[in-house]
Amino acid sequence: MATMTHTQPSIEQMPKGRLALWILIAGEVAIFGGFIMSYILYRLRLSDWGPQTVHTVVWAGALNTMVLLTSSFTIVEAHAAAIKKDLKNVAKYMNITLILGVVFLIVKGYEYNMKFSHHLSLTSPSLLTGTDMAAHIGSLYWSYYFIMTGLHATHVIIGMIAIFMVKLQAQKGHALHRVELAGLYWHMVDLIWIFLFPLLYLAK
Amino acid sequence: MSASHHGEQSFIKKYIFSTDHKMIGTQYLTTGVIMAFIGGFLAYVFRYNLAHPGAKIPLYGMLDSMHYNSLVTMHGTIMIFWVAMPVLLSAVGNYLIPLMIGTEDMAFPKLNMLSYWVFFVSTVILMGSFLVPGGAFGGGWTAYPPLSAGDGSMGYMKDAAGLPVVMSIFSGGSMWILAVALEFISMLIGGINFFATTLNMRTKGLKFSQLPVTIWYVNLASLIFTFSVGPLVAGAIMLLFDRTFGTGFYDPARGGDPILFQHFFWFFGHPEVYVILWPSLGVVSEVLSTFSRKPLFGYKVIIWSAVISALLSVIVWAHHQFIAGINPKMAAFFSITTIIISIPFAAIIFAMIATLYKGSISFKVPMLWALGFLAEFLIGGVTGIYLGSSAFDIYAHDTYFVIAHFHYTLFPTVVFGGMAGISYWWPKFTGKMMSEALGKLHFLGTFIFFNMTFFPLFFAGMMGDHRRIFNYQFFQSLKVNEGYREIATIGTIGLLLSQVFFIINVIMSLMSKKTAEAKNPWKANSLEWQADSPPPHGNFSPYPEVFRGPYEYSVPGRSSDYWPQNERN
Amino acid sequence: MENKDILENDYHGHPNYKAVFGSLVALFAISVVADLMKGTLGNGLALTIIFATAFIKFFLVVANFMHLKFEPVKFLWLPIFTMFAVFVFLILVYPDVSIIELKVSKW
Repeated sequence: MATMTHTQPSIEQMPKGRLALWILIAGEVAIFGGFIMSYILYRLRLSDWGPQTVHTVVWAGALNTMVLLTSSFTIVEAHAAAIKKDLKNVAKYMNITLILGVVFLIVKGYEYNMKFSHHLSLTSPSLLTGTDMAAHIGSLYWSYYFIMTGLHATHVIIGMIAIFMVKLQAQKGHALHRVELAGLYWHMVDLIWIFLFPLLYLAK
Repeated sequence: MSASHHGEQSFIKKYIFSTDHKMIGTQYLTTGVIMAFIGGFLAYVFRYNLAHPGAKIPLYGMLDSMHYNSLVTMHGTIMIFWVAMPVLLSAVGNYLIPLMIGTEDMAFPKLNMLSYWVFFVSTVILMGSFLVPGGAFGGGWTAYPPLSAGDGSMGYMKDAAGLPVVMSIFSGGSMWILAVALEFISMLIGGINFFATTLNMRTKGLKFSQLPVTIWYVNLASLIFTFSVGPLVAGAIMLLFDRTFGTGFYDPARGGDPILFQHFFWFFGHPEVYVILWPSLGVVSEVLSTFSRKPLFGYKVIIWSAVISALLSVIVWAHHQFIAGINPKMAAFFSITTIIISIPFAAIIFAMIATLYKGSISFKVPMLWALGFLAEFLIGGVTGIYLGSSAFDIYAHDTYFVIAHFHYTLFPTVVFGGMAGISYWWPKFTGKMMSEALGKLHFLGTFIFFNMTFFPLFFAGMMGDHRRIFNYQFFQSLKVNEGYREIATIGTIGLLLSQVFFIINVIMSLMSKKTAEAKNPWKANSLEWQADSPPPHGNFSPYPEVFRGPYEYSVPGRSSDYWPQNERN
Repeated sequence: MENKDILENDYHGHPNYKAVFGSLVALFAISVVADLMKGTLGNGLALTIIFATAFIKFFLVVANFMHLKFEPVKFLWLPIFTMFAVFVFLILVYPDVSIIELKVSKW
């Protein structure tokens, strides 16, 4: 039976795994783009959103930004190690990335806790129980805050699972090409945060 | 990765959890056709009600206004997401891409299988929504809030304490959102497969400029779908949260804006109708070329026009919102872009007509469907230009004129284009022939009754019949339209009954013997016709090498009027 | 094509990952400083710096860590730009489109 493909060598050739990841990333970017775009529109048009932003914790956001930037660096170092088939460093860098992911989630959890203790949540305050006029218009701001950061955190978790599963194989030397693919997804998660951070924490 | 499987596969592996693209295509096609009959039945029920308000509907019973809303909603939802998409995008793409590019399967066969089963689960959830308390979703396939965010009155429901009432995840509307979301995921996964396969797995010698236009169209459709669906996913998540957690993303009282959802919806919704159209244009193009024995006219023009229409398709969406309260200046902008987008599509239609010119035309069943598509889609397209002008749309929006317009575009696209494809490639995929006589009867019945159903609706719309109305008896001034509604209902029944010819044809063909004629009965050039009928696992043995494009028909100097892509001389 | 062969078919050239990371940290620091100095810089300038650094960080990660600069398939830059174009367009269009400015419920 003839070999699988007779693709001609051309510049269109791209390893199919990488191609698939890029299309997935494009789709995900479109989804987050929808959230970010509508957030920006509301932020510009509803003058009562501005005061709400005071309550986001800049140092937590900044710390998380550093954490994610560093984790992007470590996962790409893992990729570089995978190319050299340096299994020890592959495992080491992927582990560091995972730990940084955990740190991100812990900081996020602490932040959420702070918000909840101030009665700020996805649906708060409700229409008639809130006596503070500014607060109950600002509730939409918090709905956006929680849904965007929550969805992002979900993707952080998905990315960590992917990295973990790839690591199990890669540290034994199998399927090393997948290190890059997990990395691509992780970079996307970082990229989204690169925009969420100024939007939610700095632009006040 | 070798795909040769030694020995017989078990029934489950071969028919149910198959990774073979042909079986997956069959699964999508079968599900789509079954859903088409369900969606058609729903249309029969509400059309009967519209012609005979208050009457007991045969085969259904009494219809009340709430259930009427559910029927029209589910009819639209089913037809677009569970018929048009699986048949025209998934089935066509899955069947044809590997075969037309001369390879053994998709780039990611297991992912392909996953995409079908996600789709299957979405179908189950959607059908299940009919059975939950409260019944299926009734907010229109467009699902605008505030209605879709949780209640039937203006604004959001509040309980005694003034807190927002939330709906269970097992409510009709929430299940609707979940089903649509899963369907989107299935199509996204499929799109990744299509693109990776087309890019990476073309057989030796097959350049991009030698691909059948169908491959171009299907990939373009998948990419535009991927990019445009994102904001709607965001908007749908927000809608679901409004329903199940009581958030106020679309609640004006809490700073939300229902129009935002409309923008999210139509930013996707408009490219979506072109996503459905492009594969059908591809199928019809193949058929027109083959049955005129002429090359497809203007291959490059067609590709470029398709790409331009794709780029334009993302800046026309608000023509669905002309009277929703948008700024009239923006309405002017969207009118202009909407009218401009008719140009690339007109170019494509002209190219298809030019393909026919001076061709040696044989009126086999696939060709009848293709010609029917051209004639009917033209009417739909032209009436779209009327609607694209915001001034006219102020009058016609949400009337039956719009319904007639989009059925004159969607129905030819899905049914005429889909049937052209099914009747054309049936011999390839079953190894058996379909009856020409039954096919012609099916076509005739569909053609006549389709026009009988929808042409009167243009007039009913212009005379004032509004969409999504349960009982026109309350509107004395609309009594004039009773005749049109009656004719349209008779047409609906005739249309549904005509499909019986198709069912009989399918059954008889499947029960007949395989024939050698079925390998290339239409004497076509593209690579799928060089494989056996039906193609075995792995498709080709050996894999073909390509020397020319797929439209070399009636080449001067050759004794035969066709020239397969893989024939050296 | 075996995916494992990809390691042999790697990109032609790699960026200096440490240098890129350094740039990312520097840009991040600039944005935080700009935020802290909002009073002296004025809101407009501060926001410009903040978002400009965000865009530069985005491109650094996409081009280097995701290797798009070293990707032979150049057309992939197209979706990135298209995405921006589309969303920028959406942002431009929307304030014009809907003229409802709600501070308090009027329903």
